Amino acid sequence: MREFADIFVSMKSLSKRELVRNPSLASHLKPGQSLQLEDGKEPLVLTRRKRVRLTAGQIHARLDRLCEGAPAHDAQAALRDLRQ
Amino acid sequence: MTIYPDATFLVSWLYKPDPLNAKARVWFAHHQAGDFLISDWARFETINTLRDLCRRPHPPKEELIEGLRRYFSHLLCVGPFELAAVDWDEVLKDAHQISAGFAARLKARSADVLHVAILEQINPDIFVSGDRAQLTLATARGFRSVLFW
Repeated sequence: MREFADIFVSMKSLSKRELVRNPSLASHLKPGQSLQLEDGKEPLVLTRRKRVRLTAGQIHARLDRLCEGAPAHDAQAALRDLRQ
Repeated sequence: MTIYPDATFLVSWLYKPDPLNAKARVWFAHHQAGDFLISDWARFETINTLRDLCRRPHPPKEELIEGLRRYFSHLLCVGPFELAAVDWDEVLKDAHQISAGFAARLKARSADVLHVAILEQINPDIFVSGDRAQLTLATARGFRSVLFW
């Protein structure tokens, strides 16, 4: 079984046979997580719906709090430097 | 509507003191009903760039960047962002093709070509970026591309 994961986001790949033998692999999916089922050339993806959808206002308010007191920086310039 | 933002959009949008943050926020607010598809490459480039700010004069605290990284991952979990899985072997094949087709005529930095190669698989309705060279390359490849500022 291949697994791509970090703390919050993951995508596992398994065969249909593995899923039939152990269906709890699918029922244990958390919101936003997906399973990739091997199915010929084009795999199937099974996804658990995300629980909430944050608004732009909610997200920006949270980012404001995180960045409170942060110094001014041109992040685009930093990215350009790293892409040189 | 599906939207693929590259790292130039994401760094300005996430980091409030960035000069283009307000414009990125306005663009995001106008498109918040869309599904924002994030590639592993865009996520890596974004967080790596924000970390780079920490080695510059008057740096932000490393804890702040870690907080932004964790919040970005949280948005991938709860929305409106979706992690778009791609086949990296195919991305590299497409990158070779894009380079062969355009790199002799257009500015095609390696990172830019990778984003456009990712677009081939994600096929979003809109590609948003803050980089004109990146947009020119994506438009030449046939994607609807917009500058957010």
